Amino acid sequence: MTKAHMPNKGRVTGVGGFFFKAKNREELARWYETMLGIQMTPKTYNDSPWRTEAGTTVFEPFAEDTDYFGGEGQGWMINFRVDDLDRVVQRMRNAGHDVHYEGNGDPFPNGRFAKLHDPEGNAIQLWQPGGKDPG
Amino acid sequence: MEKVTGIGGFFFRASDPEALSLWYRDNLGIDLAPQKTGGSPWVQEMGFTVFDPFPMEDDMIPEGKAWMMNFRVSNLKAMIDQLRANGNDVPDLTDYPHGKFVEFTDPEGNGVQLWQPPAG
Repeated sequence: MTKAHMPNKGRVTGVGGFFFKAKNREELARWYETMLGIQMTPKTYNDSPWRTEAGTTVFEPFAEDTDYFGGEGQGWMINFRVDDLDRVVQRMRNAGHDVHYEGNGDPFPNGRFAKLHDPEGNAIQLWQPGGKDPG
Repeated sequence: MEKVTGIGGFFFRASDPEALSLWYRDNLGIDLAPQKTGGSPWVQEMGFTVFDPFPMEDDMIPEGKAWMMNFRVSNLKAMIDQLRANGNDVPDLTDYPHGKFVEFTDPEGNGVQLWQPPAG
């Protein structure tokens, strides 16, 4: 399908970065590092940023009035792949975060999902790939 | 510690989601969401991802927008030529110690940054 639309064309190879506005950037970056293991951006060129594994990424614009992100104020939602959803959810809950399994935690055809918000209210979806999609 | 292993998705509001999906497919090669088409999803290669909260007043993210996406490319010059051939207004690339970069916006004004990491 895609090849036909882009004969001999270049394609982007991955997400090299995601930048978003925050009220308290240091504190929020530290939260992502502590809770999800996403390394904070290095201060020098000698240190490496977060390294992501190869895998499926669903990049998808939604309708303006979607409620999928958890409220009108939510402009976007990011999905992170995880190897063990239950462990990450448990850690989040132990830290006092409100986390909801989607579909009661039962597997969808492409894996299991949970949703939460970061301390500034940004929507996060956690995904343990499985079934039809190995991630 | 159990860590997230990568970005499995990014979902955002759009005035015309269908047209914008097609723009990303036709200009950057990002396959459409499989739930809608039954096709294969976009698969990323392994690599660095700078995940970074920015100050509210920072002007790298386009005005009125809350986020900006950076995509890795293997040949930025060729990608810029491709984007221009498709009618997109894209500036020349800039060389930095950590790679080549260019910034522009998608048809709905969202910031797009392309990055060709240094060889090796």
